[in-house]
Amino acid sequence: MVEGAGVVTVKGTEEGLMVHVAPEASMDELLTHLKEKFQGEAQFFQAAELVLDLGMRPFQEDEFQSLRDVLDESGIRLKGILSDNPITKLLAQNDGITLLGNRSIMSSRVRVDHPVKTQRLRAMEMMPPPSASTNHERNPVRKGTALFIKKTVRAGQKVHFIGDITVLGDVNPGAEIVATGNIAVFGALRGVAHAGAEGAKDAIVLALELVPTQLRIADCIARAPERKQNSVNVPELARVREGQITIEPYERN
Amino acid sequence: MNETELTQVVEEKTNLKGGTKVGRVFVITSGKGGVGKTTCTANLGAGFASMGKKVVLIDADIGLRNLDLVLGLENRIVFDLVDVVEGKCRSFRQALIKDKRFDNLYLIPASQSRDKEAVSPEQMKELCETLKQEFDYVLIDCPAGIEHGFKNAIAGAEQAILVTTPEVSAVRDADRIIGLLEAEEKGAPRLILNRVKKDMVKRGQMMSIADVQEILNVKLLGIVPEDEAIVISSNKGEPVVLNTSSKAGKAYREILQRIDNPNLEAPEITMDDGNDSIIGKFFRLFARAEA
Repeated sequence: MVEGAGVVTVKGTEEGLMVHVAPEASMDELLTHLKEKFQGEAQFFQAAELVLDLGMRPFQEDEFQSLRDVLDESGIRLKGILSDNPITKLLAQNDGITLLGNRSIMSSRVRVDHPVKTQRLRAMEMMPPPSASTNHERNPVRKGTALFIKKTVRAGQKVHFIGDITVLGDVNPGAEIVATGNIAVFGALRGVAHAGAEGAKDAIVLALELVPTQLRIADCIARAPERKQNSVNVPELARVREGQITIEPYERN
Repeated sequence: MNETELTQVVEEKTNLKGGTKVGRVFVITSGKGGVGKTTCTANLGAGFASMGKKVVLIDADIGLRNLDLVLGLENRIVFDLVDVVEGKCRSFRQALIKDKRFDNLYLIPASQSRDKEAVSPEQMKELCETLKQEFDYVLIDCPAGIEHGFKNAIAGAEQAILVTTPEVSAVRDADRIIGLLEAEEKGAPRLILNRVKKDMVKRGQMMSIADVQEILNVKLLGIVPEDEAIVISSNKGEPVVLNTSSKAGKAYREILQRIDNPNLEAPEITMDDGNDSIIGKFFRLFARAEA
């Protein structure tokens, strides 16, 4: 994610797509970059659920509305926000936006019964975040480009990630794994997997038991044969060759 | 007898004292409907009661109450779960219905006329906390689905018992439920595989226990064979667990033993193909590794 670096960074997490906003970014900059990002990668973001991590950045009531407009335009649902700023949290709550994480407004005992004066807003921005150090432990955001899932992904669960995904466990029927990079499953891949979701045709899908309901690499789609086949019991690798997904035994070389 | 008199009789008979127990709270859930949650709840309840344990069953399927029918207690209902949480009766004791056969088995019935939203997860949690001080076992019969009713039913439970049948749709829903229970930090549920038809499995027409476990991979509490005695006993309001000549009854009695003894050997799965040598060994190995 090169464009917009420094202002907005997007990471896939188990919770959904996590968007980090740089504290120094102005509102206009933020909106422009978000728009660019969503429109440039429309296919990936389609019907995504978004979590906005605002950190200590102050946010004002009318800014939430502009943000919502941008998201609505791109068909993205705002799942909620993460914030360490008490005023931002309060405004978000008044606006009906979900606050994620345990940093609830109630615990910080900030109550405002009348409209907040801008001056007070400024003063409170300077306060240190209540739990800045534990922030990232509670909301594990993978900083690298790989997501490691150490459990079985079950029916109804979806994982979207910008980067590679490794699963140590099975991917069950009814589960969905979407990565912009490669997918490796150390177990049985029985659900739907989409590698190279932003168009990378050189992405691969590897599984110890490759029996997916449906397999997608970039814009190629393959589905399981209608008749159940005996599993071959060797690790297999799927990749795109001449515009078609092919599956071959995985061999060390 | 008018309503007030009747409840007073019920209350006297229950004769509940103290609040010293530390009972266990289980939810019986499945995702899909019609796999046997209610029958299972009734049988586990009656089974524990026959072992001398003090048991309360909660029918959390508000709006579609059934558990009272399976136990043959419909005509004794005065107050229900919604009345308890709304404080319409003096205490939960007024809503307790004592079983016909066992003095130590009670039911809190679901409301017939209200819907799932009439109760909140917090209220269920509170109720379970109170109940477990007076009962050895609190068993919650969960409604089908994954919406509000499901969230209510699991809120107060410490552990879940997952019921499924060897059908792809039931197993798929069970898998979804395992994911949701994990998300609610209820831990991995234990599995009851219900309505297994040995002959069909043998002919390869039904998913085998191994097929189901390949997907779900959770600890197996027991395998209940398809048994006509279940239908007969449900219609008569007499839990099959008490029927010593029924195969399903035997399966339930084994499950009762396993619920409290996690180290007990996993159920034999000879039913699979009449050949215990490979798969049976595999499951016992698996059970040992988990213990």
